[in-house]
Amino acid sequence: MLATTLFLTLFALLIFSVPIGICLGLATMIVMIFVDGTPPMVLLARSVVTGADSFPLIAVPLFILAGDLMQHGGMSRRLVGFANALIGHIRGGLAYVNVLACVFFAAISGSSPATVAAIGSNMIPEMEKVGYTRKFSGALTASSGMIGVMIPPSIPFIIYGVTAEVSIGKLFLAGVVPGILFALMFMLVARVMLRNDEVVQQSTTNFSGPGVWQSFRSSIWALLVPVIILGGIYSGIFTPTEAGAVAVVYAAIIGIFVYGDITLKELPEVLAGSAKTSGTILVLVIMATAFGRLITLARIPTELATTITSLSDNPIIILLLINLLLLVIGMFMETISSIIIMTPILLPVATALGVDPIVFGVILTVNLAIGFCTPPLGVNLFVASSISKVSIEKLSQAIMPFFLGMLILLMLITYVPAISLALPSLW
Amino acid sequence: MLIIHWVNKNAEKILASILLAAIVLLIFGNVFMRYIMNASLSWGEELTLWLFVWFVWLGVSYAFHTGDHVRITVLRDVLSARAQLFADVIIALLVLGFLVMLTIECVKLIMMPFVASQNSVVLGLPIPILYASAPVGAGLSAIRVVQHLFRTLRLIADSKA
Repeated sequence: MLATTLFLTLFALLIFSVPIGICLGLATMIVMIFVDGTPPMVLLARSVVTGADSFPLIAVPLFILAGDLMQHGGMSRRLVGFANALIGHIRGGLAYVNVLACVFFAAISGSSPATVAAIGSNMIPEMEKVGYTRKFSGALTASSGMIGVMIPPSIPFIIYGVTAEVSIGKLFLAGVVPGILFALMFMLVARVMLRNDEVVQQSTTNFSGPGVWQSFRSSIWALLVPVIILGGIYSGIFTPTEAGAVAVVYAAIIGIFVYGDITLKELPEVLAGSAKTSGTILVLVIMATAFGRLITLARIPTELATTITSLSDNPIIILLLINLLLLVIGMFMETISSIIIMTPILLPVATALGVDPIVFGVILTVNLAIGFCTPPLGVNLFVASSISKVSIEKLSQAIMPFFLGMLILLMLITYVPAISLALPSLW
Repeated sequence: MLIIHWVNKNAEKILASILLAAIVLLIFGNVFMRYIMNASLSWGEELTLWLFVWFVWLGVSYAFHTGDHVRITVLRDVLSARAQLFADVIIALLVLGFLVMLTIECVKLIMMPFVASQNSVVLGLPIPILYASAPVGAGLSAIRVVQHLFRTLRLIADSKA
């Protein structure tokens, strides 16, 4: 009764275009008012404060601000330049440059749509000039944008770390190898798709050692960001949250004093923009926390876990079912709230099967990140569509080959935990 | 009037920006103190958290002001422009109802003895200051939603004429 009312209300509100955070809060409120035997509304009132009362969570607005500063401060432009100097001369090279630039940008940003926006607005027009279709470039950028949340810093990893109470530092490390594998996969898919395309087979630039050196020197301050963030976290100098604050100060200093792409006067506008973006994300966190507490008190996670485990006693099948469930959720739901709601439900099932909580964090994030690139609710598609001016429908078709690549790697990550655990186990 | 107009335009924007800047400086300052001065600020973490909770709620209201909250528009997009406006009115009323109820419940919570009489561990500040963030943020958000509601109603009136 409770579960049916709760989820039906939630979906009705979602489809009716009520802001997602409010959908979660309002569905919780309606159940608390109209269903007997539910906890009093005080629980909701408490959750919307205590849901934000977490020091690791502060890393979210900090990495958003750092990413905004680096984009306005000219770092993304220089990273694209460096990626281009490195591999732009290869046949079909701009497609690879696009993916590599996303990898670089992922290392300074924790958000997937932000990666698509930053790299797409630079790369899609450039690719069109030399003959790539906007449909292909848009689909490629939407796909490789998902690397943004796999290579640290990563906002979904922070949210999962807070919810599951596992080390955010280890999660950051666990995402590196899967992120690089996805990059290689997207390059491979692009290679196969472009094999008969004569226009883009011709390379437009020549490799030049001095050119690489020059673009390396110009982008060195941006390339140092991951060194500072990750180096600081893993050497124990600071926590992930503190790394966020250090990244902000670093990005501001480089953007204003070294690159000069941003002035002191523009700083308040960047700050306000990040505050707004943070507001849209953190409202999901506090409302999903309230929603999550209600379903936990109603013992829905336990029931769902029993249902899942009763379907099969083969761990491989159960993991497959979990992946299917998460893929569907990722297609229809927003990522942050999905992590907060699904983690308490699925993590106990996964650990009972012997899955490491760190690996499960990677599986969860990859599933939901694939949802970024799939209709009906795929933020990467929306951003790529607005940059490339290609309709969502056409982009959704063009992304299919990449989607297949993602599924193959998802299976690999699910069943080969060593891919995620190789780096964290070194520390 | 000019002042009211300015406050209406900038209140959450400036407050949230200041809080975010303060959070950055507090955390960065604490790292600096720990390594350079060898003395970390014991009150730093609690103060940062309190500022953060207030930042969250002011940021929520700011995003209501600019109309940037994330929502699924698949169904809304297929409606006619006029039908969209009517849908927006209903959505605004739903959101408003939620925010008003939440504000009331949060005020009730603050007046309960286990909140009202408590002080924080490190700073010794009254806990209601922390809990006041939610009703203030939800209340401000409600004002912003009402403003959008009036704007939508005016558009509906205009589109009729």
